[in-house]
Amino acid sequence: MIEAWVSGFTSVFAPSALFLLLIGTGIGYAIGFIPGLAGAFALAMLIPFAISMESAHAVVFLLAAHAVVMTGGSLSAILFNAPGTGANVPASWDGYPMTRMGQGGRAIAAAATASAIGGVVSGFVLMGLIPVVRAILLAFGPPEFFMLSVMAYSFVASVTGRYPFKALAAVFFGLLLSTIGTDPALAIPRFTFGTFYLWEGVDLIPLVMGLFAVSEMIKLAISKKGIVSGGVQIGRDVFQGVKETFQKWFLVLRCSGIASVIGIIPGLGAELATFMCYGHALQSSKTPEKFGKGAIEGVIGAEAGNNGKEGGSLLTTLAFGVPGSSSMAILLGFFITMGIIPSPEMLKEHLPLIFSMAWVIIIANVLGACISIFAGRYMAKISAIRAPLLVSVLLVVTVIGGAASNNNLGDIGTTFLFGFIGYQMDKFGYSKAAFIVGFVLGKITEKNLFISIQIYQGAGFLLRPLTIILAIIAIAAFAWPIISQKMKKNRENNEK
Amino acid sequence: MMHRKKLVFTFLAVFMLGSTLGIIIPKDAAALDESYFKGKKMTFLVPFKPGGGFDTYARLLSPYIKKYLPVRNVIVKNEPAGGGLAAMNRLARSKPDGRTVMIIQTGAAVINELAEVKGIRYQSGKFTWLARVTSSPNVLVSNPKSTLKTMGDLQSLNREVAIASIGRDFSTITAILMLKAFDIPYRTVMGYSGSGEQIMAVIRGDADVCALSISTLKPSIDAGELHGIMVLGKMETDMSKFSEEADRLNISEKNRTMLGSLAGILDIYRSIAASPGLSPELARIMRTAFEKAFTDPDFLASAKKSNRPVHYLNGEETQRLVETAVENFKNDASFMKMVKDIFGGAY
Repeated sequence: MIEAWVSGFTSVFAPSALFLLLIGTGIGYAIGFIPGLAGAFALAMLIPFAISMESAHAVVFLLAAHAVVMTGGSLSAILFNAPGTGANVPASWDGYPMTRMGQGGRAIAAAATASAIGGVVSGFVLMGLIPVVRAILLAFGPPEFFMLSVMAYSFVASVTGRYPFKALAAVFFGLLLSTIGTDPALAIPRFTFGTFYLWEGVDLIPLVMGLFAVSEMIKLAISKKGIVSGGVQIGRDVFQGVKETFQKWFLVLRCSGIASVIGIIPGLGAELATFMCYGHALQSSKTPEKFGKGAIEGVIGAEAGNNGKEGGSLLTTLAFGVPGSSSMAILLGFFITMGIIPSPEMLKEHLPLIFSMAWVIIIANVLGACISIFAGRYMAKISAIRAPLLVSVLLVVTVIGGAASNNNLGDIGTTFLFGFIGYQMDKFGYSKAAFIVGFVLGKITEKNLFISIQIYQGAGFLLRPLTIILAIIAIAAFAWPIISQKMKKNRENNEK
Repeated sequence: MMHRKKLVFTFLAVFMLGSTLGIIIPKDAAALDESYFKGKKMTFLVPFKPGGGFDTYARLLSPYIKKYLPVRNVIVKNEPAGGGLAAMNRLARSKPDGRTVMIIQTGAAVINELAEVKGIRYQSGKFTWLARVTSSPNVLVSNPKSTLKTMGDLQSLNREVAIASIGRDFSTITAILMLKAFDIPYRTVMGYSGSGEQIMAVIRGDADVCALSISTLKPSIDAGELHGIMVLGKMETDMSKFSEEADRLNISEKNRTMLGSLAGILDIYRSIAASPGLSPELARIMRTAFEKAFTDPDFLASAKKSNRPVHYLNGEETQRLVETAVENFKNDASFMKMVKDIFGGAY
């Protein structure tokens, strides 16, 4: 084991591998930064280059790019409210308000540091969980997936702030929208209005681009001001962001841990990990009322989770050939092409390769964070650019990004439609966060509920021990904020 | 002056007529050769997302198409919309100019066509088939820890056999047909998102069996995670062949024919086709070029390096097999009824 650990380490530090790691990190970061272009796009674009390389080099190159796409994506989420993927969305909930307050540098630095620690933890999780991955995987079946998604809804209920009923309406709107497309259970096209465009459902990327980026640009265009109303603080601000993240080290570790476990379980999607981590950061905060208005813990929690899930996700992909996300599915295809066939044997026979992958994740994440921290102080200045100029440039990038990921012109229409819907939701106080959670998790909930009922031929799946534990956590997560608030009020009344 | 104008008009009229005819009637058909493709762009449609098996084959092959046809470029275009049906319709609509080719999951294409899925605008037999890429026997597998080791074990089980399934896809139809041929009662557990999840479902015990291609299942069978019960397909494999099992358990002639038709379609699992209505001359040129590409030692070496088996079969023979498969299924009333029952007109 130790021999494999060392051999994995030295193979990554060979000059040629290290060079490819640097290039991969740079490209991945840049692609992640462009709104709308995410991990799957980066990999699809880089595979033609990688295919001519020696297999160990190709793996280093692709994995490095994949590992930092999220770090780059969080930058555009924080600066322009234009998250590149669903998983970057929670970073914008507090990151963008911080940018508006002129603290973009601080938010970027905190996000980068949390991402790096999350990535490093996930690399070590990948190494450490090899002996127990099988047990974890077998413990989680469709009933547990279903209950985990229910748990995420209950977390969101506490995230949504002052108008719980409007938030609930937004969740249902998201759930409703997720029913468009091929029914995940019966594979029957549903609400597709006779067009193939909707067979795969509304695509997440144009939806996120419209809902967050385009709606924000409409607002900016109307206000005619830059993103930041006051001045932009840089310089010491960046180092403060790094420092604050280290001060909240326990939160970072907890979120990375949660994300790693969710990452191992296939089929839950990248988004669930970040949503859950954001929810956890909020619930464990002493000042939950600041969330959504620029709380640095929100950024830290979401980003630690975002990069924290990768190690676990890679482990499942390699050991069982079950990809946790679309990027992992592409990587899986490529691994097979390169002669790396996923199987439980892989964990025994190719241990040095797995360790070198873990090292790539760790190093690339640290490099990505360095880029963010050093570039962040300059990038934050972009937020002070006047609206007409900023909006016209961003709109072009966003629209191209929205359409490029699927190579489909229909996505441009979708981007603008949800831009308008997002703008109206903001205007009337409906939570876009709740909407996106409903949309993303809708299919997971539906699919796993349906499979569970089929397996148990009824509701018997609810009596599985792990399902019961998860249900209790879900209820507690929902009820605790209400109970604690009541207790606080009672105490205040008693004191009076 | 008038005379000159007349001359110009006559010239223009002749020129326009000539160029129109030139468009309608292709160059002297007999004189057509590879130079027809000179400077032209070819689109290679892939009905799935990038990264999967179909995509990999298309990307591995495209440089070799360029090597043997003087095209300017071969552009691989992924069009996964509608589970690949949008790409099939696009191929059916494309002009018969040899500039659009597609790698097709033949079984799914034929079954969707026979089930009269709404929105389909193609007929598999009408495409110009250029080559078979791979044959893919399917294996029915169970959990090695269970008592289900043979078809006989499944027959003597006193309950329905649960099949882990994606939905109304070809692997589900294969599993159902295998069980039906042996009169084994079954139920489907639908909704899994891919072969990896189906395999996990059997390992975890969510379902009893699933059927998938041999290349997908082999690593798990070799690792002892799954047990192979029965193989269906025409290719020789190192696992037990279905016919022996069928003889031992005495299945009916009708069911045997049905399994034979199914094996026939698995035999042309991944194939490449061009637009319908290609002129015989153009078809010949393309088939020859594809033959050269498929037998190129460099292509074979890169496919081997990528762990992608190649079972090349020429275009004429592939065309015949597709047409035969469609005909066989159409003539098998009980099969057609079953396909329509499974799809339930739901599309």
